[in-house]
Amino acid sequence: MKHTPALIAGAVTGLIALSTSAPALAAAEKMEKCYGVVKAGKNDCQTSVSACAGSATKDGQKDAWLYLPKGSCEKLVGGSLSAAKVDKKK
Amino acid sequence: MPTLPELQRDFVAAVFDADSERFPGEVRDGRFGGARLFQIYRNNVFLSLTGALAAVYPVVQCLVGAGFFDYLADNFIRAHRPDSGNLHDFGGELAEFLAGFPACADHPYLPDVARLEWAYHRVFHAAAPAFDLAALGAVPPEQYGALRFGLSPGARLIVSDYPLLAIWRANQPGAGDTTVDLGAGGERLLVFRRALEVEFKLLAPGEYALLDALRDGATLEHASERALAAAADFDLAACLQQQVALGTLTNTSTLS
Amino acid sequence: MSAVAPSGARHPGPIPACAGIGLRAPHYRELLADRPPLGWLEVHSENYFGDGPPLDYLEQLRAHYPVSLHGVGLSLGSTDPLDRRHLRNLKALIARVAPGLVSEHLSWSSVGGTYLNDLLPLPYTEEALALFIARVGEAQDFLGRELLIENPSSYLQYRHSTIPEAEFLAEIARASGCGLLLDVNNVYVSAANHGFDALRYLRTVPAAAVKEIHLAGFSVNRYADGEVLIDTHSTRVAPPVWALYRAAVQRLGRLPTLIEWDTDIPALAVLLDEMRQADAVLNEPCHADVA
Repeated sequence: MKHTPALIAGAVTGLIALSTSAPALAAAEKMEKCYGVVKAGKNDCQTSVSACAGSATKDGQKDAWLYLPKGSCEKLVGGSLSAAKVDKKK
Repeated sequence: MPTLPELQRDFVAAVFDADSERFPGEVRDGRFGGARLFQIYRNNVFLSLTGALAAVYPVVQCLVGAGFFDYLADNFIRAHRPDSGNLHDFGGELAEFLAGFPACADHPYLPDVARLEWAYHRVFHAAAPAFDLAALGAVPPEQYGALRFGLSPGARLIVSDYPLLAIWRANQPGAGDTTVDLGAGGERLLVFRRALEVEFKLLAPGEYALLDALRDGATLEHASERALAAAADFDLAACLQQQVALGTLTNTSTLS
Repeated sequence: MSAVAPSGARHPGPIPACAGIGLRAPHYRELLADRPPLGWLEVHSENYFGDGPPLDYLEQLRAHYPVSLHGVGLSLGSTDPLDRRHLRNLKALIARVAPGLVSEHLSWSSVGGTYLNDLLPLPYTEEALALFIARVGEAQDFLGRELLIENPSSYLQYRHSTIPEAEFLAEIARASGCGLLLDVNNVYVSAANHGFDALRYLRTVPAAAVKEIHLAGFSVNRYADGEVLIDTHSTRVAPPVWALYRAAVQRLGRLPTLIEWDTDIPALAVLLDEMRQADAVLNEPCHADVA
């Protein structure tokens, strides 16, 4: 194993160097492509909200045929029950 | 005549139990009988809570279909009644509920999709405090290993056996007829917010191990050891620099 | 977005005695880009308890418009203890936004820790009146400011209610020192559902306590043997509600008047059109200066 204290000293020193260089921080932030960042889209209006209004819609249907998922899950194909496991402890 | 606490308990009981005999008896018959008038409130409660769940879990709703989602929501609301006057707090147990919902047993990826959407929801509404680089400069170098960085309230980690990001994308508005190979492998995801946007980042095993340990309160030394154990070639300096730039780390209570 | 309250300039002053609109997420960007002339904005307090984009948009808009806070989750009529966390969140939001008015509802939504997230009707009894007065007082003391209490829409009445709603509200205002928010649509909806005289209700409400008016659209649940009006905030204000509003303005004078729309939210232009109709009723338009 590598010498962890030396790695940490170098890494923290690198961080502190960012603080003296605003352009360096800005440059680091702009590297999102390299970082593999994925934008979730223009999403700032989609949220659950409290309202003080009632709901007029008729009572929910309780038809038995609805009792199994029937949506875009048909788009998901392949080994659903044998997916490769991600080791969560690593 | 019931006392006010009795009346309120009876009201709530009758919202969740349509066969409750007692409550409509407390309602004055008007042009319509009390049972029909009370049903308006029962309907309002379930419709508004179902709507709140659908707003937080649009991908789950898309995957299972709107009809089944209403059935799922009805069952969920009965099992996990809201406990806050703030609707944004409602629905956090859906992933756990899906994992034990028999009708979804053939769709074992659904709980992870729900975890991702709940993370998105919480991150969207969380504060995103800035990392204090100046305070870091005041720390003596011999104490660097004892530093404790935290994960920002505006950042969450998700690990899944399924290709969550592909599933999420295939169920966005306008995604078209793409299919997703469920056997494509799992992933580790960082969900975080910068300014007004929620973003995702796929994490390598070392990055995930570091952030997971820091979130759990480990010192920088212990977290680094965990990351190096997960990936021998883990680049600590690059990872910390990226995460500080992305605003996912905090150091408000830096020193142990 | 920072943890520290922003020092940016705010539009000063109280809520003006003219029409405003409810601020809803689909209109954030358009309002910020165009900054149309309008009297003021009102938001549901709970939607801004978080510290994310919604609060960011609200603070940006606060620089240009007066803002009022309208709570839906405090459950003032509940027999549970008042939720201190909710009150702390509201107090923090008040400090951050500096609203001109803060309001809540004559209703309850929780018991035994279960919340129904709906505005449920109280029985109008001496017992409920004493509880509600005490709780309004407790909330006002905690927040350090006056609350306005809004009359609800209701779909049922209790057998053992003994006090007419308008008198119940009058006594709350007198005993707690709170103000009232008169929702004219709610008066119309409840009067139609329960068969009382809406104009008489307007005459009973204590004029000096009323500091804000709400207007909204309702929906109709039709049954084979009749109909029930539901306060859905999903359509334009109905003609008979405009007529009742005129009567309210004649009796109460010019008051801040809000157009509320929560379901099937239309284009901003539709809200502004409703707002201008309210301003016309208020006689002469009065618009806050757009900075």
